Amino acid sequence: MVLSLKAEGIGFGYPGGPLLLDGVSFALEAGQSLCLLGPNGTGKTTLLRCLLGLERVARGRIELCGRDLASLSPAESARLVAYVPQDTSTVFAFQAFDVVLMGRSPHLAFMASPTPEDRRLALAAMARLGIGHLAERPFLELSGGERQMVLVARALAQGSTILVMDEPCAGLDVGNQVRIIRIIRQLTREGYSILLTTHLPDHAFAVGGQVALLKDGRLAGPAAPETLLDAAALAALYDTPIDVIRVPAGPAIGQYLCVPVIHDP
Amino acid sequence: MSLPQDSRATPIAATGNARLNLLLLGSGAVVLALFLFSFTIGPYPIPAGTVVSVFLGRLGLAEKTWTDAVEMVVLDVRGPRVAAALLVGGALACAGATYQNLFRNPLVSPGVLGVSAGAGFGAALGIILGMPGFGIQGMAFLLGLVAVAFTVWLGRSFDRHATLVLVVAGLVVSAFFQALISLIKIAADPLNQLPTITFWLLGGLHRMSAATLLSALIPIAIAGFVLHALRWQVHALAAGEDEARTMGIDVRRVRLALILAATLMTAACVSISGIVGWVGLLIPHIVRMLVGPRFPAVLPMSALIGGGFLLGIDNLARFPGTTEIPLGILTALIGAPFFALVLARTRRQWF
Repeated sequence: MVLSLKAEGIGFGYPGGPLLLDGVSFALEAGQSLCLLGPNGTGKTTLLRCLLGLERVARGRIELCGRDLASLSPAESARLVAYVPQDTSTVFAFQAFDVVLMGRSPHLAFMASPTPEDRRLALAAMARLGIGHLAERPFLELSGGERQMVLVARALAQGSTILVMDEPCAGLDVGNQVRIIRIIRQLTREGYSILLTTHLPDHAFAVGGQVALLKDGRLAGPAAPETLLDAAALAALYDTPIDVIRVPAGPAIGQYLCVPVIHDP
Repeated sequence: MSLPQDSRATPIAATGNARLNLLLLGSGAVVLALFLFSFTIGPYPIPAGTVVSVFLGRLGLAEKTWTDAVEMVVLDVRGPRVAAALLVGGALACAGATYQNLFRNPLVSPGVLGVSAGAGFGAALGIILGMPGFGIQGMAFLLGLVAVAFTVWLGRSFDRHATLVLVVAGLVVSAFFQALISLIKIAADPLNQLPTITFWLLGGLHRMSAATLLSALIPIAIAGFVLHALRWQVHALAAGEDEARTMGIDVRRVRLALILAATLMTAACVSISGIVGWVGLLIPHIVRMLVGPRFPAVLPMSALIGGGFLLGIDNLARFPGTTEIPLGILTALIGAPFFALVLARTRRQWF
């Protein structure tokens, strides 16, 4: 089976600066998700930028569906991997549909505008996430949760099977966080490979895939959250005591909770 | 998650362009009427019917019932000037719309970014060096590029995301090139060169000839083709350079091509009409109010509305019974308050 996404010993640093990523390796198959945890400023965003081709790695190799990222044109890599940013700021008053339609860019012929087929695919991507009714709403007037959904729809319209999501739940209320997590689980079941970052360790359990810990440019994992995320690992990662609890009863039985210890020592 | 049939698929997919085509057609009709009207006014009034007959006669579709003098006024005197107004207005508006999308900044334009001042300095330099028309255009293009490069560098070295920083950087670069232009005025021969430079810098389309028009038409057509070819890439750049790159846009190349094309357009305009401000800033906003912010629609509409706007203003400039008013003065007199209105209406969406 060809791996969807493979990073092999990648190292990256800005010219003249320290290495922000050092020997990072992991692999994702179709239908797998990987949740990336790590404290602020530890290189999560840098890693995502490298995987998306926005930064060129200094060492190592990134493969998308078996092809070397460094040898792909922007359009070629965009057909393999799509990016779901935390939020996007458009200067002009686009409708949500316009934002989704932009995802069709890597499939357009030279000098062409989107065809009716591209428009149909963009609308289908919105319908698939249950946000077809938002199509003609001004993007900037949508709520944070709706905007995140529109950005996921844009990535689906792009037709790539690898999705890179930068803190998809940041700034969302609990209800919207759950909606996004459900969509990530659903898309993974449908065969997408999804890499996401989060600041909430609970989400690593909730997403139901692998987890990896990034600290000071080095990666631990990937592994199943149940084996990697114990109290000691989380405490070392975030430099604060954190307890990991399994819900013993009730509707959420069996779910894991990561609870930071707030009590004065 | 299956793919449910969205009942609204058809309306958006099919009618998106119908409204645009209707608006293009309507504006085209208005501009055409204005175009014909422009030939009728002047110290030697000619009825619109005669103007149409002259055109038809030229195409071999009408018997000649008018004098040679009328034909000369229509085709050789007013023709190049009217065409130049359409061309310069349309090109400045397209360049402005492009810069605004590229820099994701609704407050920039060829004037604001310092391109006009840079190109003006280049052209003025060409004039006092006694260069031929082609050399003057080349100088305008080169110095226009230098100006926009400085503005972008200055803006990015401070804060690449702040809208106003780029505007201030353009102000700085513009002021610098304006000072250089003043230096050239001092150095210019006060009898021949100085009046030429001064009047030309204020902006105007007087003494336009078919040859001059053609010299600007060629670079503008080339640049216009580039902008048309890249219209969807320009559109997608509105999502930001990084996101556009992840959506398959070759941002580095596209950005370079766009800066070259928009600057070439501006320089070609400056070299035949002097510094005409406000068109490139104002028109794209009016166009977005009419057709929305999608660049593939904004581009042709900007060409049309920009051309019509400058033609209307040039008609005012040469209105019979008044002395010829430099175009740059009129576009500022009309453009500034108009832009203030636009600003008051749409400011909420920008920052």
